[in-house]
Amino acid sequence: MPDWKHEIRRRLAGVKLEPAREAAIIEELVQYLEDCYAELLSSGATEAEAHQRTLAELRGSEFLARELRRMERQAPQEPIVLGTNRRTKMIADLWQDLRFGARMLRKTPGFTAVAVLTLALGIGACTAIFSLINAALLRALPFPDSDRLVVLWADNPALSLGSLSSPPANADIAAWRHHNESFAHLTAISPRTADLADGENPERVGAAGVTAGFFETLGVTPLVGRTLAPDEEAPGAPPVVLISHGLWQRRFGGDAALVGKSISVNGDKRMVIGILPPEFDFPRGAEWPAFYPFPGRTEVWLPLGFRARDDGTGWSNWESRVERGLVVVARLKRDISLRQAQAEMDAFAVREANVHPDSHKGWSIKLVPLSKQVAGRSQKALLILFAAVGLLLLIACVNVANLLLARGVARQQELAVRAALGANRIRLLRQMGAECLLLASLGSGLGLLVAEACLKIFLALNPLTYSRLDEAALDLTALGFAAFIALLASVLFGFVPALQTSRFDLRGSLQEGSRGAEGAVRDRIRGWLVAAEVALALVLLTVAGLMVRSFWRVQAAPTGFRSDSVLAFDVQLPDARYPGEAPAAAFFQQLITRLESLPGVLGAGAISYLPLGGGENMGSFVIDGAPPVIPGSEPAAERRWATPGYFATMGIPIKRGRVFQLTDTDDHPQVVVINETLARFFGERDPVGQRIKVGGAWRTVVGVVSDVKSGSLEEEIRPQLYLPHAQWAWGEMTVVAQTEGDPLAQASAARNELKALDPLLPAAKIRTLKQVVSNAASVRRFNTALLAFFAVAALLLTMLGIYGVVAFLMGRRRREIGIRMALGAQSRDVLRLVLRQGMKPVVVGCIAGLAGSLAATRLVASQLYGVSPTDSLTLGGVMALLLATALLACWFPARRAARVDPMEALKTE
Amino acid sequence: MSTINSQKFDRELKKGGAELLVLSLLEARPRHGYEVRKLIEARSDGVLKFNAASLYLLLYRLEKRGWIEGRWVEKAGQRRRRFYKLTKDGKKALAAQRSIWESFVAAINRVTRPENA
Repeated sequence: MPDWKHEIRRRLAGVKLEPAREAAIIEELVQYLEDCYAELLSSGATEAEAHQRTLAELRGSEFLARELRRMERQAPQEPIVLGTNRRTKMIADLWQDLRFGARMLRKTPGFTAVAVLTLALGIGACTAIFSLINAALLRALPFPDSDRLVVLWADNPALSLGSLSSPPANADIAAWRHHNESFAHLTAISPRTADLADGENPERVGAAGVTAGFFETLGVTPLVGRTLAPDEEAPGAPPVVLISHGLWQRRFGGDAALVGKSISVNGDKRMVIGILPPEFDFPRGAEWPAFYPFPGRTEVWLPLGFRARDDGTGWSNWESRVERGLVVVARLKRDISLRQAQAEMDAFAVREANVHPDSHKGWSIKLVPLSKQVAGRSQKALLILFAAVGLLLLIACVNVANLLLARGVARQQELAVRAALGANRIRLLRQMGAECLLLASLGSGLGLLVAEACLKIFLALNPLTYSRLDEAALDLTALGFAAFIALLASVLFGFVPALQTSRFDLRGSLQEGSRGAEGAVRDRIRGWLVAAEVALALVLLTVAGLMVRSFWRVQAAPTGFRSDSVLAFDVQLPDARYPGEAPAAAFFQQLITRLESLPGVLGAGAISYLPLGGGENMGSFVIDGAPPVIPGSEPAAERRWATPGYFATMGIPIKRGRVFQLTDTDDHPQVVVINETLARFFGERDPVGQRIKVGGAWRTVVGVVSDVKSGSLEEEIRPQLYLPHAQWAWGEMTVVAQTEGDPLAQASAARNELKALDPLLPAAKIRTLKQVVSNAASVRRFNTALLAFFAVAALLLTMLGIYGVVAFLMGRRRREIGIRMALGAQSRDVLRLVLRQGMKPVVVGCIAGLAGSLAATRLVASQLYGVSPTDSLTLGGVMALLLATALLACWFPARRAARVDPMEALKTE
Repeated sequence: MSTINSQKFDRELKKGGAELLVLSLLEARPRHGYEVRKLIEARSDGVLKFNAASLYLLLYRLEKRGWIEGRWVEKAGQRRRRFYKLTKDGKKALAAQRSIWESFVAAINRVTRPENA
């Protein structure tokens, strides 16, 4: 048999077939030729003849080769995708989905704009509030291992201190400094002020008196110089001082050689031993209870100057078991937990109560992490704001979900075509998910701008009583948060519409004018979404409404004193130039006389602590003839030292008896004036003429004055008593002057009078009483303003949402309305129909929202004032507002529907 | 009478209906290449002849189009052979081509029919 294989292979050489294919073709052709050859031989041909005629079968094989070549070239090429694996494919698909989504969003600019703006508002507001929370609550304190820092407080439930804790007794602090198991370092701090008198401009800055371990406790090292040595703490030691970086730059020009030089502080020369790093300004006034008048920022640190022993002079000392006035901060040892330290303090308190029952019975020690202490006042309010803004975001998401549902209906045809072309439901869901992601991204991008603007406004409003809020900024954490809630929002608003939209009746959708059962389901979902929106808005509006009413109540509550036309400024007499009480009493009397002689000043006086001005002095009192009380649980009263003209200047009405006169001096009987609340302790007796023991001495009550708001506008009034300055003079007083007209117009005249008496004394913190009262309300104002803003935004969004849904539904039902009208329905019937349809989910939402509100308002009860969490006026008012707004939102589409021309409606579809 | 697609008609003529021949022979049962060649020659009384190159050119083309399907079959005691059979599409194509061809033939007949005086 001839070798046909060789022959065939030769003729197909140029084709370059794949080996298996080539082998198959060759095998087939070889068989053919063999059959042909065999048949020729059997028909009588010779071998040569048969060979030749069989070879002739391959004539034209070049055409075969060409055809095979063409067929091999046209064979479907498998796409060569570089590095193909599942993940790459997923990324490629996602990219494609995103591009497609972008195209779809571009096609409907109106929808996209509304959705993005709505999301931007929600995401932006959330991010702004989060930045505030991050700065105030979440960020760690700027000290190394700040979680090891604790504050030590003392509590005694028997005393009527309210929710405030008390400082520990001086003797306790001395004991801990001497020996303790739990603390690596411990320090005590007292608020001070520092009058700096070098050069032209005397200036008062915030200061703190600290013990030697202060900087070590916090873990701060000075930028230049050193910290306090232990022997520099006590009085009589060489006077030293540390100053802040800011003060160093501002007042001393960043003098490189300042350390070692002396500066004038409160009339004394003190050597600067250290300059602190930039940004260090602990303690900050905003972080401590109001009765610690720490300055906003501390710029000068002085030795505390407590005497070791009680030497009978009345100066603060470490032996006193009753004096409680120092903030105590400690750093836990590395291997000691908070619980262990607390246990040690509990044991200490029990021991002390046994050994010194008269001073320590009933007292316990409480450890509070410094981070919690610092955040304390702002924590609850910020969290409420965060919840409010979360509700706003939810409402925004509901709005966008409704928009998407409506758009989904409009896209039915397009989706149906895509499904017919092979897209399965997963694919469609993925596509819509990508669109939602795009919307959320755009919304969060724009939202960052909104957040920036919101932050600027919030910080401008910020009552500086919120510590560290001024550090709030859109940092990486805030950006991360914005991205996170954008993702969350896209799931929230995208999920339901995507599920609904991707499920449809293919045949029905492709037909013109189809609606079907899917439409009804979608309408129901839309109704639920509107109800949800209304419920959320109602909750937010109710909380905001209650806060607004609380704020009004607080504002309206009488302070007990005149707040307009009164000027105030602080004067601190340095001990060096005014030693003892007599010079201090004389000085202030002279100053007041000079002020009263100014034209435009109607009266003047001085007080140790201005009401609502911060600062406090509590002391126990004993009423003569009252039933004896267990030692250690005597009632306590706020004590103030006042000059005679103070009450008239402040417009504090006298209820009984009289106030101080110029004759109430040191060499006359000791007198005291009390407030109405304290007067009640006398029962049926007239307090005037009775005796009270205050500060270890019996005093006669000469008058009862009206209650005065003291620590804050919301606090309950406590017993208050006034001691005559002339009988117990203080060197640090706030001077007040009642003026005709604007108090600030008298400021420079007042400053001049002070300068005339003593050119080295600054008139510090010149302010009007109106500002003081306004500041007292500033935190509440801030919180309320923000809440109200969010509530109004929520109301507007809800109104938009309702309008959108009703308008859309009516648009789809145009034909039906046309038919109804053609069949005889009047305009008002249509109006009623639309309104009923539109308001149904609103009413459902209101009912649900009512339940939600009752629960939510309970959570904010602690922030309310003068208004109960279930205040029916507020609830009713808010619900009426919401219903009215919803009605208005339904009104316009309803009116449009009622004006439908039946013929037009029936024609178009 | 069905409308004849003129482009298709032209192409068919050029091929001389070769595809029609092959498809119709595979209609009855699967056959291998040499069998198809023998049948065409026999049934046309030697008028129509294919050689290997032109037959396999046709078979591969029809297979590529999906009208026929080739399969290796091994019978006992014999070498394996490749048999071809019509696919569903192939049957449709055969019917279409037959129809075109019949129309063509009928048309020719009508034109060439002797005229009555």
